[in-house]
Amino acid sequence: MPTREQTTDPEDRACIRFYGEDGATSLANLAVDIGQYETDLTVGAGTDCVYAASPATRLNIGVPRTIALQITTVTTTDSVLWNHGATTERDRLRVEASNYEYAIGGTTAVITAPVPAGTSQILVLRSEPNPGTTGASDAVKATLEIYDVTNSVLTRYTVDHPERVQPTADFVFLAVASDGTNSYIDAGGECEAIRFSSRAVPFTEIAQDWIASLSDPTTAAKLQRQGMAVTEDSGIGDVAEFHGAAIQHCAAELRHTQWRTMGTLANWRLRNVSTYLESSHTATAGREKIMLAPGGNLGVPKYRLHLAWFGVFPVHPFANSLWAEIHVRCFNSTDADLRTFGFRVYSFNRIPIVGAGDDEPGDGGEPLEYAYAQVTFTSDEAAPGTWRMQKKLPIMVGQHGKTYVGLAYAHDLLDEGTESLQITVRAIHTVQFFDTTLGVPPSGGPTGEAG
Amino acid sequence: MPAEYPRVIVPDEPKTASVVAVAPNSTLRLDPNRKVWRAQDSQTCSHRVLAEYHLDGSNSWPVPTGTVDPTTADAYPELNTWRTVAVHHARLTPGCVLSMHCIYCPAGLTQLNAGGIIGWISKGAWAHLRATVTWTNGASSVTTEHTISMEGSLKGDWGGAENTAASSDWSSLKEQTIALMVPTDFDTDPATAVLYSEWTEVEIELEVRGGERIVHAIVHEVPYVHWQDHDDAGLLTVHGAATGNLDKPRMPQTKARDGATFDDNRKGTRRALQAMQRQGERLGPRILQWAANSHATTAWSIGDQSPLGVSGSATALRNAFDTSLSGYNEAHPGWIVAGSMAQLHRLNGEMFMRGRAAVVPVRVIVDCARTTTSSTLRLQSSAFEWIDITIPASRDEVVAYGYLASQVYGDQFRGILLPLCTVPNDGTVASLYNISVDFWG
Repeated sequence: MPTREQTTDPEDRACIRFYGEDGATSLANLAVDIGQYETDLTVGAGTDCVYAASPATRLNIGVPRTIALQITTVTTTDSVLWNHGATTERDRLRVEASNYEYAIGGTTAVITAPVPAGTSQILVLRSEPNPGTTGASDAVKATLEIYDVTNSVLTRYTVDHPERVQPTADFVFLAVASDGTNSYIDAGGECEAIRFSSRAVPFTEIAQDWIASLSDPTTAAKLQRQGMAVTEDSGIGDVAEFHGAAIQHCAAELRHTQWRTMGTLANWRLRNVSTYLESSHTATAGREKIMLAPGGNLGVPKYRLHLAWFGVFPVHPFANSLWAEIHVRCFNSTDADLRTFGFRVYSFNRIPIVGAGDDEPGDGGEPLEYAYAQVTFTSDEAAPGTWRMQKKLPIMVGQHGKTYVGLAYAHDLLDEGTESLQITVRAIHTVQFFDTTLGVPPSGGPTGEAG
Repeated sequence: MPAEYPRVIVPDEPKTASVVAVAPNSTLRLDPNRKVWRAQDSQTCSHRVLAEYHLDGSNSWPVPTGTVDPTTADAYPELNTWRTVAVHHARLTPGCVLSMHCIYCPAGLTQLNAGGIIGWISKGAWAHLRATVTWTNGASSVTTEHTISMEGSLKGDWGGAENTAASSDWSSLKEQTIALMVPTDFDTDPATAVLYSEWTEVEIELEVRGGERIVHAIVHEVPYVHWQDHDDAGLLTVHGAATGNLDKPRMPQTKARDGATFDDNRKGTRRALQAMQRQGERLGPRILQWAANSHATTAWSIGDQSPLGVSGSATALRNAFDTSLSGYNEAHPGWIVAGSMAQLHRLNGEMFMRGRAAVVPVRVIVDCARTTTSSTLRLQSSAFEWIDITIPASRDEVVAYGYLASQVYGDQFRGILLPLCTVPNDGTVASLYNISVDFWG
């Protein structure tokens, strides 16, 4: 029984059924299982493949399953990368006529994809239950991902296929049989690593391990990740053996699930990209609103909201902040002088009517509260523009559990010139989250009562 | 209590779950197991927006400003024509139903062709917003309609004129809400209530009629009530253990207890675990909904959505909104995948990706069409994660499943989602009408 404690290391994950590496140096290295089972493969006759004989429990998995290979020398000569089972039952990934070909249940090819040009590649074959299945004929979704390391290009091929027959014979890597027949190595190829997982592994995870790891994010957001799911089979011990007391597991998970539906408010990629001119400051366009927000010359209103970028959204009971992103282009169509622009993303507790205009305010019952995030910059840039705001702001929630989100803009914020300044807005994002710097997150139910 | 939550599901106990991170010298209170089960009855606190219609960046509404005499020209929306502005799909969070909210300015004129020498006449200034919701669970389906009437503008020589003074549209903004939209007989027939409490799919079609000046209209979830049969052994997202000592009947039973043969599956540790698993699989954020509306000033005369068209080129992937932009680049404008709160164990970003990346499983439904030659829409949210949709020759809703890269945290610039198209350079045009992207655990 494996005893290794699970860590973030690629070889220590509970789903790893076999992990061998350093195969470019020698197949004896590749056969050594550095995963949790520590059960090595056998080096085949002629030392041109590795295999597990009749792998009844550990590798005899059809769905979900991910088999990932690091190829350090690619060959387009006909050969086999891995083969599970005898001729009539096999699953197989091979090179055939300069294509990668994935076959199930014998020789039926379900995916055929050209071998890319790069001499170094990562091959991932992922099988998982088809979320859109209509029955036995399309019960499984298979995805072949080919990453050309040399040229940094990923290609992806997906197919739905029937439930496969579970092979029982040898699982052979780098050949079709344990005697080395149709060996990938004999054809001129070289395999650095093999990783066999008992779950669907997305390519992002493969990339984190084998291509390049992203940097640690900076965050103030409260995060609740799901714990180990109840029916998850790690392959070690009984299902759910390591949850602890069931009720303990449930209690811990409750804290997570209450947050799960928290997502975006405005998630707008705007189709109508109107250009807003500086001259509109003095125009009588009814849809604009002058805010009481001086900038530049004292007392001159600068920031103005526009109905084109205004909306109402219900707020998740646990959210206290918004993450705001806007994609804008600000430019000077007269000359190349840089001018200062400003943007604010507002959250109001109600429609921000202040009594201006022809009609009386329609909503007088609730005092207006608002918060905003602001960004100012100098610019004269080309299309399509830039992500200009990546900031957070508190959510102001009204009596009906809703917030009103608006984008305000300011041309020529510092009164630097009279050129024809223009802005276009292409995207507005506001994502709900709980900012831990603003207080203790609610641990109770939807009312957010503190524990 | 806000009027829009007439029967909001509020937990009484426990205030905290049994397993918590405890700071030194903290006071602890130990709760019995049944409190965990009760807490599982109260998971449905979703307020996700599932459908919306808005100005979409437009500087004007499609309806004319009201300066044309309605008896002299065909200038205003025809009286009885409904125009579809969005069709969105979603799987409802269990125990939730829908609500609609609309912000708008007073409507413009409508017209009718009276025929003969009379010709076009004004039929007044007004507008309607209608949500047609098709609720589906398995083979069962029911359709309901919900309409908001919007008053007309009193301005102008013929009524219906738009404001002209600075800021005056803002001061004439109106709001209306339909607090509760439920399937037919949901409140009166327990069997219907059971049917649509779990696994319900909704199609929401938003239509407008008359001289609408809508700023933003949304259809969103509200927690309501989760009905279940007490002898249902299926995999539900609630534990359903609540009996007695409750402030309100959150888990209605569909029949009376029946003695020695009584089979109640709503209790017990196993059920608690199952409910937790189902919650993990089904509860997640709405990723996005998008609908093609041009907001051109003649859009009303088209009478329907105007699709986003992508004309052909070489085989390059080009941005559907702006074909001068090629390939995936997170610096380009797009949507965002905000799935940080729905990171599943099997894709766990903390354990498997060191807390530096995250992916969420999604279902994509794209309403699209193309002429001539096969074309593809790729929804891509990172260098490595995308979902391809083959655009059909005849307009259809194409369903696809896959993974999208997401924010790891809610305050992170990550997961920019771009719609990229490959359209052959043989005169082919691809048309996009509606997109719904759902979390799909």
